[in-house]
Amino acid sequence: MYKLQAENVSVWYGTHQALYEVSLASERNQIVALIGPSGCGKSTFLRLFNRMNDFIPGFRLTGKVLIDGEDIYAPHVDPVLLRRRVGMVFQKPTPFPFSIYENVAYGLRLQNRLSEKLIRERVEQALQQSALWDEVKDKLKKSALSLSGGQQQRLCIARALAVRPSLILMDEPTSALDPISTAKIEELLIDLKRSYTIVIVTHNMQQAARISDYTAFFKEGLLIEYGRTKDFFTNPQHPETLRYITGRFG
Amino acid sequence: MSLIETEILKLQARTRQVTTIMQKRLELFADAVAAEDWDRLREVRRYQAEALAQDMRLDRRCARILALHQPVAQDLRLVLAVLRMHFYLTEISDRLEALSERLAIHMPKIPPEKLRRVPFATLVQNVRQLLSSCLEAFFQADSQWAKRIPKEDDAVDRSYERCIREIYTQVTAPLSYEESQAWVELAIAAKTFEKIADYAIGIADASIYHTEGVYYWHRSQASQSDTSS
Amino acid sequence: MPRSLPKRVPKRWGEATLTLFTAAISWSMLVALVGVIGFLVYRGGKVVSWDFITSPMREGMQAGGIAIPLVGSLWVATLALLIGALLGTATGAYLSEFSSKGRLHRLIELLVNTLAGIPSVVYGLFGLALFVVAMGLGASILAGALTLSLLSLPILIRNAQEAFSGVSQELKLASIGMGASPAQTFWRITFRLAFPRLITGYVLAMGRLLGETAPILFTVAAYYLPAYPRSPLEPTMMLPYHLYALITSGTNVARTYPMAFGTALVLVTLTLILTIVAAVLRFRLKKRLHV
Repeated sequence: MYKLQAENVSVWYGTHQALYEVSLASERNQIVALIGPSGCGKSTFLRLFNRMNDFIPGFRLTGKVLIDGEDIYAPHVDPVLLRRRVGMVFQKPTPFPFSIYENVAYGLRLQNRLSEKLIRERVEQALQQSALWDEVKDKLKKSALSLSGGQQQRLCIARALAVRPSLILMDEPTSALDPISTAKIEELLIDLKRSYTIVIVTHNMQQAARISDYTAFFKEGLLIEYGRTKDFFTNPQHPETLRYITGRFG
Repeated sequence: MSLIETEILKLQARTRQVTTIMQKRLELFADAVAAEDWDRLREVRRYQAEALAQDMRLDRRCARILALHQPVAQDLRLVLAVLRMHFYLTEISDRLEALSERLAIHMPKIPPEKLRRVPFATLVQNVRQLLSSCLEAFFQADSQWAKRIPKEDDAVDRSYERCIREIYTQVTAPLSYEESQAWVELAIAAKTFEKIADYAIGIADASIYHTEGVYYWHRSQASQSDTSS
Repeated sequence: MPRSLPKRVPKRWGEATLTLFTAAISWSMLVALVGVIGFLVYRGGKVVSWDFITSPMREGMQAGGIAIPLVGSLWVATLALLIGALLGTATGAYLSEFSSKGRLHRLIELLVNTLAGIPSVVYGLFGLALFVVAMGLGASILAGALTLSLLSLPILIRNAQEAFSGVSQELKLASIGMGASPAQTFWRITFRLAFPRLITGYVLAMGRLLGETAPILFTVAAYYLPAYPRSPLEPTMMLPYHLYALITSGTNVARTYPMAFGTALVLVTLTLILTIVAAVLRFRLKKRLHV
């Protein structure tokens, strides 16, 4: 069974169609990169998997979106519960203006069912997984805003990991960061792949080439090509893909 | 370890696999020649399929590292040096294969006492030594060692000269049709090994390019001051 | 093709003039403010004392202090603020966070803007008709508080709306993305982060409510009472009305004139204190949140 799957998905915002019959699937423990020019629909596609598009006025969807074989747009599905199983990391690091500890514990406290001891363990685990523990273990009570940009983004990743999601969505997570922070996070993602499935939108093709297992190229709402990254960048099938990745945009 | 470091390590491992097979075949050849066991030469062919598979994998890895990781500076030069070396190794393999077939057929036609006067086994051994040095200098990224290689090449040149002179002497005497054919094949073999030595030097050159970024001997024929591309 | 740059000197003159002009106006406003307070201090300062603040009026409103109007004003204003804060914050929350920004939303905003423009005396009349007469509360603290709360609603709604909208959208989205329900996001993020600004708004509103005269005129203010109010259903003396009474209908105007200034001074001081408290609160709460 595929971890995530889209079947003939079309998306409209009011009268404007953003995605045209997109079909794509991935197994678990993979990194799938979504690339393409601005406005091509890759972020819209990403947001389908945690139903964040629901908040955009005029949003309409046809086709099926499945996680672990289950249609997440079925009427009985509670989007709030869905978002607890699917983590999201945004482009700009958005730590809450609370302490580092409270940031990571935020998702855990939503359930109201975990003991303080268990929360502490999970916070430590999440910070270890996002390679931030050593840097912050002595200052967990300090404000999250006192961290550098790269650290804040890793904190947001830890925050997402703490609730043990099965799928992690990332919308250009390193585009606001400097090269060293970017490199650290890329190594982190490759490490995380062992336990999680990750879908990442990136406008940086080289990043997609470096870290992903599968790459999908979107253009003007269409999925032009989807394949194993090593084949995608050495021998793409579609002429549009070739033009895009070789930089012949004009 | 960073992503690019991991990829470079994988590339070096792959390259090692190709050179190991290459050296194993050369060792087989040298041992057969030294033992005057011409049938054993045919064993060189046994490793052909594996060698081809390794070749393709190395090619694919080079393409992949360039496409996916955009190496620069020394990493990029390593990939280019590996590709150049790969060409030389392919040439050496091909010629070795061809030679082993032909010598297996023709060497038995020369009487052993006459054959022993040609220091062919020494030539083969010297070339094998040279190639080994060049490859090691490459993997150790030791450009100082690579620059000293031509001295070892001298030993090869001397054995080659002695082989050729002895062959010239032998063919002046009246010979049967089959035996003269065999002597010609031997001369070709000696020349081939001299060529293999050249390729080995090319590998050393590639390794200097990898470590220092300069073309040491390769372009010395071209004007030294011309650095435009 | 290089072109000669325009002469800088005339432009420089214009820049300086603008700065000087705006600075001069601002400083003169400050001077005016200081002047008003100074004037009050001058005319009313000699009257204000601890005794003045803590003792009731005596000798038929010719001597004594403003203790009862002070307490009455605080009662009514506090109650009005509580009611107004509750209703205003809820409405502000709806407008900012929960409405679908459709026709109902626009209608409410229109109404709020209209309410903001209604003269305070009209509120007083409305309060008289509805709370005092129709609901039978009579002139009482409760009626006065309800009327004042209506008056404060537009400000408090707008304050709450802006406070909630001011919380960065990214943080709200991050919370939603983590699987917080809209209600959880509201309480844990939006309300919590808007709190300093809300509090500031409340305190400032309180400062204004203390000084409102027209609405309390018909609904709660009494000319003279000897004792503190004991229940919310009783009328009470109020500072703004007391001021008015001392000047216009006092039994001995010459004697009570300075007391009027004293009352005014106390009122202004109260408002000033509340404004400073609001600023300090906001500063310290913001610091605590970012710790």
